[in-house]
Amino acid sequence: METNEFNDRQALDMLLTKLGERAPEIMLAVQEAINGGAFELVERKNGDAVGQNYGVRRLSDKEALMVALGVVRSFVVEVPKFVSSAEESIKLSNLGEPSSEGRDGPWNLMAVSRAVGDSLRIRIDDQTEERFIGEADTAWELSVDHDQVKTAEERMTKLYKLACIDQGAEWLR
Amino acid sequence: MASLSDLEAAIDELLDHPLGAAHFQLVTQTAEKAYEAYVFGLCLRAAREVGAVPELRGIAASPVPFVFRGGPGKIFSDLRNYGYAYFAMNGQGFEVHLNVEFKGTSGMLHELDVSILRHVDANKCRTRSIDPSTASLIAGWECKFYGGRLDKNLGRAFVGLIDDMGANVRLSGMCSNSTHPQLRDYFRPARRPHPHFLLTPLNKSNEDVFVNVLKAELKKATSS
Repeated sequence: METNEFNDRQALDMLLTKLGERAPEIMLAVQEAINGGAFELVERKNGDAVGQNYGVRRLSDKEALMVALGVVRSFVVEVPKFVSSAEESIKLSNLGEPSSEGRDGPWNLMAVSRAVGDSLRIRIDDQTEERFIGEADTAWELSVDHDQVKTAEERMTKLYKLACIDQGAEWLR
Repeated sequence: MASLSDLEAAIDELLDHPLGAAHFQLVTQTAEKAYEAYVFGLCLRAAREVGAVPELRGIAASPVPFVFRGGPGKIFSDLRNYGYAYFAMNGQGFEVHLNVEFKGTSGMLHELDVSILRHVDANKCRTRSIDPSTASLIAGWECKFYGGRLDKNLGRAFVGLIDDMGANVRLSGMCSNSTHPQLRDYFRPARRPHPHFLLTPLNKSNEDVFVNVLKAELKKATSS
């Protein structure tokens, strides 16, 4: 069986160090998953007869590494996919007018897309409405390139295979 | 045989990606909203698959750009041209909203991350500047993006919220890209929200389950 020159602990340390340097918010999410929640997600194999049983135990280095990679994947691959999926679904919709009565009209999404650039922009306020008053342009505009999403997924898969070479394709969540 | 420097290079390559480290700050601040937008998109897909043609609308003007609420808000809000979707089925109109507040049976206001309500009721609420009642609500979902674990307290809170929405709500569910075995069991009894866990573009079958459950409920709600 092919093996790596590094062990799981070293791989985890390397990943956490890199995240700490370049994406500390993601590292915090990783640490939360490893130190807290992931513990109770471990299902006991020998639950009692009444039903499933959930135990608490320390994750192995391998499990912690897989949890960490799962968290990274959530941010690097899943979130852009949320945006692109929403964009795709929205683009398949017709475009109406103000809410009182929708108008079929000559509008269609492609025409609007050309009007605003390459794609329909999706804006997501980063404020609650109450805080939003008087803060006119604080909304985030999210848009992702589909090719970029694909290459991010490829790089994530490459990292996963490199770090967890003997673990198949199972991700821990 | 991979070396530690190979691993380091692979991590760097990922973080150097345009959707990598430079994108992290953006996504961590908006990841949950992006997840709500994703579930909103799944609702539109369900509407399309039952033969409806979703139409994007804005509260005050054409919804370009399409603006999602970033926090709980009023359906009649004029603070910004928030977007929503309208669709009709068997002569009945529906609207899909994000982060709109509803008045519960207790009188307390509750925010639903994604909701579907009757168009005629929504229009009345916008005209009269009142919050929609539970009677107008067809379906509601709590959406939680979690990089790590899912907090089970959120599930308990959502069950309480749905309980206050009364008996008219046809469909409710808790959606997350993550999962929690105990929460899945907690949602198992009848009348509890559907557990739509691991609902993510990376899991097409779970997307199909979400869409099919909604399609079935829309058909029931509009059957003559």
